[in-house]
Amino acid sequence: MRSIILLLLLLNLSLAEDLSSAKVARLIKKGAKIATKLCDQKQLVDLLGTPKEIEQHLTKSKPCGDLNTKHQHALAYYLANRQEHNQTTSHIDVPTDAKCPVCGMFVHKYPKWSAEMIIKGRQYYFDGVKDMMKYYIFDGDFPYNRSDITQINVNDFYTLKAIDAHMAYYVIGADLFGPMGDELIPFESREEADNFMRDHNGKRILRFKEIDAQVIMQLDGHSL
Amino acid sequence: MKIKRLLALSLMALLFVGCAENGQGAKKKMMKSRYQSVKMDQAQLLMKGKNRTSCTVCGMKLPMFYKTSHAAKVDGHQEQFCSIHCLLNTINQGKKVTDMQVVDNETLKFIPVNQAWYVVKSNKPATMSRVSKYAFKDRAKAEAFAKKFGGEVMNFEGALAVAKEDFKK
Repeated sequence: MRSIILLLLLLNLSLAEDLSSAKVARLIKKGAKIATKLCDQKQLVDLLGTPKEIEQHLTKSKPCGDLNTKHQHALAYYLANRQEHNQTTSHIDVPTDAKCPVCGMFVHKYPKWSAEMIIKGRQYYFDGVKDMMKYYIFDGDFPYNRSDITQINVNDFYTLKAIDAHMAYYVIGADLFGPMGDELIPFESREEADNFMRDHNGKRILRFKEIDAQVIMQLDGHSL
Repeated sequence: MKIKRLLALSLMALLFVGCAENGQGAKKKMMKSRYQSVKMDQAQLLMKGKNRTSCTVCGMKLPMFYKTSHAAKVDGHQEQFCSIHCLLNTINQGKKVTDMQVVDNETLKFIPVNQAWYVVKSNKPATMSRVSKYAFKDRAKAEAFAKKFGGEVMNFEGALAVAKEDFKK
């Protein structure tokens, strides 16, 4: 009898742990949305520390206006995770045999243009932001559960630092071309994007959520 | 009895709504296919083995970029490329490249490069380059293509010289 209770207890414990990691992943995802939609990005850059510390900062400095505690909690987890990720990977590390799931190209030949996506713990590499966005947007061509995506990274074009794709500023229409032609060129800050746009005759700066099927198809030369 | 009928009715209504929603949810976003693309069964794939559908240089899917595809024997082995760019890449490596072929955009079959007329710099998309190059066996077809989509008609040597410009950058 006692052993059964113990077993049940153990099972319970392991279940609880599983739940919490899934919960954290959900929090991070929710936090990413809040960060892009509601926050002053410049103020978010300096928010460092554990989720708890970040939460305290958020209450004080309110870079995202008045958030309810649930939202604040999610945002804190997201920011803590982002900083951890930025410290461990300076740029996207592409294995030599990685092929772009959209066009088949070996991605390591053009490392600075690369983008990566983590879906259910598996890493996917793309030869450019354009192909990565195709894999993200066109669910008819690439059917998989979008809610299984835990991370999307792109390289800041100037610093080559891996950054969260949701946070980047993308320049389109510039006179600089990737291996697949016209590209979305990512930057960590609006200032960098502005500078690049001036130097390379860019047309527009887009945020992640503004990139849709029409934008992508037009980059490929289809008129809509 | 009345209650039963009501229940059945509401169930049917629910089912109906459910179907309508499913119908909407099933509308998936599809990419427009590239100008260069053909269906897998329309493409001549000249290599053997599991990598036969990929460009030997850059790895790109050959049916996706078929209309600019080239092929050659490299040190005696059959290879196939997505473009004249990747063929030139192989030539530049100093390998022995013979039996060069290109896809005829009229028949979608391979022809020897010395029989081909290239339309260079039309407004159709380029593969691995900013300057597109599409080949035809029939010179009149090449001229007609150039009239419609712009560009200049030249032979293989001319097209190769233009492709070389991309390697100087």
